[in-house]
Amino acid sequence: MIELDKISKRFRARREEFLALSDIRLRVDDGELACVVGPSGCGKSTIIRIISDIIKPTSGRVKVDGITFDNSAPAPRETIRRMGFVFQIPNLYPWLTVRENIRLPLVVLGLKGRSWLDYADYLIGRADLSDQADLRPQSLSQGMSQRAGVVRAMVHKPDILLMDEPFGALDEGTRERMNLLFLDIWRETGMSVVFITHNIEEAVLLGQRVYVMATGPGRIVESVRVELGEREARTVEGHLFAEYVSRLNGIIGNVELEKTV
Amino acid sequence: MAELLVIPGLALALWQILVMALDVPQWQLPGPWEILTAMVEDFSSLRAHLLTTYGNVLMGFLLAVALGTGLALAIYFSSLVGLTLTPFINIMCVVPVITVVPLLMLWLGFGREAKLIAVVAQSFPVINLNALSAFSNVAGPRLELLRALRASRFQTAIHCLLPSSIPGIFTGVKLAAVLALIAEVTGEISGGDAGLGAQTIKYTQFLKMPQAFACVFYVAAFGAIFYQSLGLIERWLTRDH
Ligand SMILES: Nc1ncnc2c1ncn2[C@@H]1O[C@H](COP(=O)(O)OP(=O)(O)OP(=O)(O)O)[C@@H](O)[C@H]1O
Ligand SMILES: [Mg+2]
Repeated sequence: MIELDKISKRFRARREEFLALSDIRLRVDDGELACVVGPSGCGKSTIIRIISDIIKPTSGRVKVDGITFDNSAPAPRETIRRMGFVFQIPNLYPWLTVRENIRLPLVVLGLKGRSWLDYADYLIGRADLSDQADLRPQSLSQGMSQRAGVVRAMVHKPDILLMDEPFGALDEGTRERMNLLFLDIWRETGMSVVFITHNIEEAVLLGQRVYVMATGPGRIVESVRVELGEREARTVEGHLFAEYVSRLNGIIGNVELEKTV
Repeated sequence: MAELLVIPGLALALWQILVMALDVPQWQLPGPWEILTAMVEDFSSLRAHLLTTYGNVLMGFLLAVALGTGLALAIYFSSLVGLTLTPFINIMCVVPVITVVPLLMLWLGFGREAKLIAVVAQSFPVINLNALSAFSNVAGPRLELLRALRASRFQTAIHCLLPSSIPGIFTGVKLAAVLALIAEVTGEISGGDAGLGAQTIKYTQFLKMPQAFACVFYVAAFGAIFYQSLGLIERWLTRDH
């Protein structure tokens, strides 16, 4: 379980202080897929960096599987190593093959043995990259690269997956296929996921819970539980789906309205 | 490759023609033919000096690569190390090593140690500075990937910093190759009788100009081949970047 308790973050840039996150409360249960939607600059990436303890919150606490860390107590290395990280860009190393890129976390974490390598190959197949596994990432399409980035984050079997707009740069058709594929893989693994996006449809399709954020300062304005029926869960065309999308659009619209008043 | 040799070939031919046409005495300026002849005929007596010069340059250069890159990593990871060493390295970068060679020889004699130190001292700072600036330009997300895995510094260096920085490091490495050769020959000229530098001086004093020029040619050929090889190694290492 991930819990953010009254997290705030101030950045200091050229003598000016500025509040990037204010009073963030967020909770992701074990095995839950939570989405965070919000406009550019509202602090979505900052939230993920705080959960993975890459940056420290100014105040507030992060609790991951019963371990608490904040700006005075660093997260234990083992806690962070139970997380996987998917970036906005594929972020593959050009001097490694696709397979070597995907295995990199195993190398860094010292996870040796046939079964880990087999699992890496299984994920490569699952992401439909078997034919590209021994190529360099430069020869991959954007969609393939991003799939490689996603399975690289899973290769060490993390309990928590942190995904920062992983499919934001893809065209709509590709993104939808990626979403469905990702849902399938996620169901197999039972990981808790924090999925960041600025696309409301994506959030509704993937998220069991959607946190809506706003800027100035970055904050959570509402959290919505999404329950799509079994049938609707695999398409973006259903009636219920449209209802959730328009409800979330309404929330974001209201925030915009308040700002202009 | 072959077409690169056309212009130098023509220049040498012109040189030869001018020397013959103007009847320039050999002790003033020998023609390339005399020089090439000396390079071949005196090869056996020059061989030991050739090996001294080339060997010292290569050894000093390799030490400089290790030292320059190693210190760059130390500075990158520790601001204390950086604060301590950076001023000295910056100074070493701009001080011509010839100014301290006499001192080195006073301490260490005319043997190879003083020259080796001169070579390393002259060539490692430029590698260090270029490596350091390459490290600090590595894209944030590349590093964040390893930070999120809590990779050790050593792992961060070998999996990300060094491979990311090869082009930047090679900028320094290629400059260092040139500086290493200059430092070695300068050292040889300043004292001792080993190496092509010392031989150039000796032959000049006896007005044996074809032999003196032969030494210069051997130095130049080595420098050119050395530099070009580094370019090839760089191309090979960055073939996938
Ligand atoms: N290290 C930093 N120093 C100063 N300001 C920062 C830093 N990191 C982020 N910010 C600022 O904090 C705010 C939130 O940044 P963040 O990257 O978390 O936004 P985001 O919601 O992920 O945006 P996007 O959708 O564009 O990725 C932005 O205004 C950004 O400029
Ligand atoms: Mg972001």
